[in-house]
Amino acid sequence: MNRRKFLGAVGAAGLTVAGAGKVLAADKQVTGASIKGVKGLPDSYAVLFDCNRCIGCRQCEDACNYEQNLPEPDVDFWDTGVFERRRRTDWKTYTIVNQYDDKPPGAGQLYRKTQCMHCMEPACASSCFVRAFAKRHDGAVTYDAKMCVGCRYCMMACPFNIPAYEYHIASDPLVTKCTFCEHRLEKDEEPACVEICPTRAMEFGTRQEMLREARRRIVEKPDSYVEHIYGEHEMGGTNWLYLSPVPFEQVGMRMDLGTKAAGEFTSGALGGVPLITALWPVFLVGAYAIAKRKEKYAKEDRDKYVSQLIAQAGPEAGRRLAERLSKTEKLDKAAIEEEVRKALDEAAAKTEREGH
Amino acid sequence: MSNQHHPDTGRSSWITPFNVVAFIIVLIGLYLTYLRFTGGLAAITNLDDNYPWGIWISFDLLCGVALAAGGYTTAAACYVFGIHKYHAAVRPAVLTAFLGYALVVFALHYDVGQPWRLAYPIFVQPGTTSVLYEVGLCVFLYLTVLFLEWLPAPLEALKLKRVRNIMIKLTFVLTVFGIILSTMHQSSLGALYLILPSKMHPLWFSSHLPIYFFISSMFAGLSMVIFESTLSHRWYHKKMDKEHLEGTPHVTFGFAKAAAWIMGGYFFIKFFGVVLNANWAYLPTFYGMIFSLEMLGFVALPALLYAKGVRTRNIKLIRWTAVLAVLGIIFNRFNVSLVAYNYHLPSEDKYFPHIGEIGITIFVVTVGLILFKVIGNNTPIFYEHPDYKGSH
Amino acid sequence: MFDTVFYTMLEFELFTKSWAYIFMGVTVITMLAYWLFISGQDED
Repeated sequence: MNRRKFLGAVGAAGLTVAGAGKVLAADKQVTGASIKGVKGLPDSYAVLFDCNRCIGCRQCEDACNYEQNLPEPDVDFWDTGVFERRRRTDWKTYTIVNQYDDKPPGAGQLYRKTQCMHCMEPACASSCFVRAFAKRHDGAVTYDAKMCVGCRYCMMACPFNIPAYEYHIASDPLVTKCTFCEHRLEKDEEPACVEICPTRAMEFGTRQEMLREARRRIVEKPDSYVEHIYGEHEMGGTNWLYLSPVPFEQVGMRMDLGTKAAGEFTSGALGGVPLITALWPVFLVGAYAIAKRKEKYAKEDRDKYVSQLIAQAGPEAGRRLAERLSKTEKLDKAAIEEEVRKALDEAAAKTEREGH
Repeated sequence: MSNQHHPDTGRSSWITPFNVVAFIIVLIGLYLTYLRFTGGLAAITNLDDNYPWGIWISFDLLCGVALAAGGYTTAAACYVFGIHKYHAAVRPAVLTAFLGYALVVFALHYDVGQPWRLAYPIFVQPGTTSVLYEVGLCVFLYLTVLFLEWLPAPLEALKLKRVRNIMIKLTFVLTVFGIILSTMHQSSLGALYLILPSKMHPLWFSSHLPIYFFISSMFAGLSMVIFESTLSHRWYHKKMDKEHLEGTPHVTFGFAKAAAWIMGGYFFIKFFGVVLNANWAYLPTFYGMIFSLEMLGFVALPALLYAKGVRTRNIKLIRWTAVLAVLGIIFNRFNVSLVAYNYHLPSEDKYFPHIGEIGITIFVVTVGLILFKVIGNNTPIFYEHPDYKGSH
Repeated sequence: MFDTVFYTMLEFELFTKSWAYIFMGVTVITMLAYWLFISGQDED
């Protein structure tokens, strides 16, 4: 062995040892298949909305309208007539306050603010086929107006019915929703609606802090709260959390959404797609090969009988039989027998004629 | 476009009933297009924030793709399973499917807010977690496959022999790839609704929705081939060669039998959907009535009628049953996307299509019929080109 | 793959599905080549 080969061998051996070492070390990081989890975002920003504190003044709507440069609302912010019916978000209304008791509009005691929940596992982001939605690590679910094609699948997918669309615009229609005032979050400032609220109905901090605060309030005033933090687990958890003095259905929040994240509903079906790519060729080409083989054997059978008949009774008989057999897929035994008999009869008649 | 020869003067005229009606529809369609792209979706649709998807999705996309399934089913029967008696049905089926998918993409340009960005999901920033991405990618690829499968016909008419022969060699590979892609996107259209169980009526929601959509696409395609053949025999009889005419009964009976069989299986998997999700209680309700009507009147009944038609060799019965089966597919896709979806909303909040949406839909279908006519009249779809007899 | 940290399931799904699509393309081409290989004959 020359020197170069020797050094090469040593180098290879060294790399193998190092590689083996890395592989064995990696073994220690392996966890059981069922335990696969994600780190989560406990330090992302969150807001805790306390229905006990909301007085339905709608200053949050006003602040949002101002902060986001939205057009004039259809109804003024001081007009309590809006409480006559339950509203939802629309293209120029990112947040709304609805009244949930039977008292006269604007004179009630049970109000709730609706806006994007900024889910931990957003359905909009999962459903968007052009990745126009993203879950930022600061907690905000953001929208990229430059990518959006306007398919509106996000609107179908959102279990809270938040995204709205600019149907009246032809040139650059966009999906609209609360942005968590991300331009303020970047400066560690709370959203405009949180800041302006006169009763401090909203508290702002990290998600972990807000959950702790929510639990604290429930413990300290159990008569004032239903023992549930809405958004802690719903749809996989949200960054906007709610506390309520009454069952959440009574403030228009569904308790039947479950804790599964939206993406979990489609992940399985999407996972089946690669299996089709790999297995369909196997089944289809297999079916083709079987069909071809059957055809081949059927043809061989036909040819066998035809050549037998040619040997016995001449080419004409064989040609007739071949034509008859080509008409059906299955081997027509009756046709074979008939043609053979015919050919033999003809041959017999011929010898008889020649005999005379 | 077709024209008629005047019996007295022998001069041909473009003024046929079809041409006149089609022309008017196209004019209306162009006007609606102008309104759509100057006034936005609000100008000609009743779409709103609770109903972001209307009939352009329910009919043009969902029904359009399901009914264009004749392409992959016919090609599979002929080239994969080796049933050469169906050969004459392949080209019309592929043409129907190719135009069907092309029209789906055409219609989508009206529905999405920014159609000039339709290439983004594939070429700029794929949202691979989305079922809609899968639909888009597959439809894009499959449209290409269908185009290549259809290409030999115009190439023969243009006498481009060498290119045509190369394309023919690709038939088997294209067929297999087409079946793979069709399986994927037919099922994914059902999978679109998996992400929103909280908005769907339980009778039409199941984690097996993708399988329901895929299986039903099979008999949707087979029924459409029978339906298209019925119409083509009426209007293109003179163009059809011996192979096509002789093959038609085989196709009709064979496809009817296959459809009947598949519909049986489909009936049972939908039935199991009710069983597995314990949805019995919903059957004696208004929505339960619609569900039962769909399953009994538009699946079980046509299946049995197909069976009877095959047993008694009754082509006429089969042809009418095909219409019933096709209507059943349309009924199902509408039930999933517009009846089961947001069923819980009060009726004043519910959606009904704008006349403009209906107008565009009719316009899109008419464009398809016009193209079918032009291509059917000028390329070897219903007959074999004399230069290429028996060479495929 | 052990070094990529996933904070949300969305991040995980995006990663795995993106690779899946890429490998689907590879699969189709490989299966085609593989079939030609299986159906062929060894030259002795």
